Amino acid sequence: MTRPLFGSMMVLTLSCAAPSLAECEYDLSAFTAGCVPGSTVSPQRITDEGWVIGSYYQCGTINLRGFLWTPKDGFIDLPPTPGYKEATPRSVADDGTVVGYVVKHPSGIGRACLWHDGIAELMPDIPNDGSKAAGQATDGTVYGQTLGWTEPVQCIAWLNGRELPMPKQLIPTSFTSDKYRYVSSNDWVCGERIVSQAGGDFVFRMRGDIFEAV
Amino acid sequence: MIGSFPIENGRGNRDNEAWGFRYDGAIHWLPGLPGYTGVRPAGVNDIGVVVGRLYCVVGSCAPLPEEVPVLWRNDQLYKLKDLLPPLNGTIYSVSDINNRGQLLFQGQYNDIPGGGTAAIIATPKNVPVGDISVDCIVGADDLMLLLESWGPRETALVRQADLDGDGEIGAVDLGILLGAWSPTR
Repeated sequence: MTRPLFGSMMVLTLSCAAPSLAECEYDLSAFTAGCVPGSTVSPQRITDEGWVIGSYYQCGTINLRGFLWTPKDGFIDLPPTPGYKEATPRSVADDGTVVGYVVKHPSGIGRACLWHDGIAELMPDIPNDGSKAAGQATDGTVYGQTLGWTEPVQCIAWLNGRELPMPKQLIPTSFTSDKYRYVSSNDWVCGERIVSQAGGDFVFRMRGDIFEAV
Repeated sequence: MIGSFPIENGRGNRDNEAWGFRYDGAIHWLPGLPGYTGVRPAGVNDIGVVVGRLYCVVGSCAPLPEEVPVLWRNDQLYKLKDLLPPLNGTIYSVSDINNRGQLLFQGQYNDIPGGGTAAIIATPKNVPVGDISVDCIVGADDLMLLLESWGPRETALVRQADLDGDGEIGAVDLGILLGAWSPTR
């Protein structure tokens, strides 16, 4: 690549910068949990490889389970860990690692977890509180939130099973409720801060040293 | 980034009436349609194509449907039912879009025995080489995405701009794109 070539392309760009209005035609395909009679499947996310995660009701039951579907292997059950009853995946990384949370019955306490090859692994326990995972970055960092059972909801992140320090912009106060919501495929971590009553709510995205609040 | 803000003095409440936006360093409010009071994005890809729904407070937009699954490209709105082929079933909601332009839905798909709800995947067909934005033409938007992604694939704005798959977005990719240039269908 040389600078003169780059410059000539910019001229071309400026001469035809109007956005296109076309769209492709589509082929449709579908899958279910394979239950007869059928159950409810709730797909959540699709990766660039066409892998799908979501939740479904286990055949003939009201047990909410997670699933990973891949074009090669089909429908893969993602069970809760022992002691928990429900599983809800929320994100899947390029290497097939799924993150989400599992829930105990009847307490309703949730705990962030990830699944490698369909096997669940819990994130570290948060005393007197629960957690949910929302997404995973390329470096393996898992982003999520506490549930706010005894303290305001906080953002939380783990790497290799250890909790990471909070960004300075998200240091919690007694008036704030913070959540990491999702991680984009190019590693933007997106979330929100709700400030009780006084106003000042914002959404944010961050990547590396960049932190942008809206 | 996508999200939504509650509508001040809206007819609904904070949880069920809000207006969606896309953020790429600046806020882009997602357009709606007459009769609909809420816009809720559900998924976005690296190119900035957003999927989600328009909705209204129950009964307030009759005889229009209370929810409409939609797609926004360049912040222009498309009804998904106008883009998809005929379906033996019903689309309930749209969940996500990936960087290959595949759309993920929940719905009823009557061609699968057993019934129940299904995950439905719409895959763009006949996507030409060089079509980074997956709108089935190779044009100015693809060139812009390639130039904005120039450099190592891992740190690129749009990784699929690496058309030759060598881990670097550069002159070879640019040549591929220009060779496939077809700004009309």
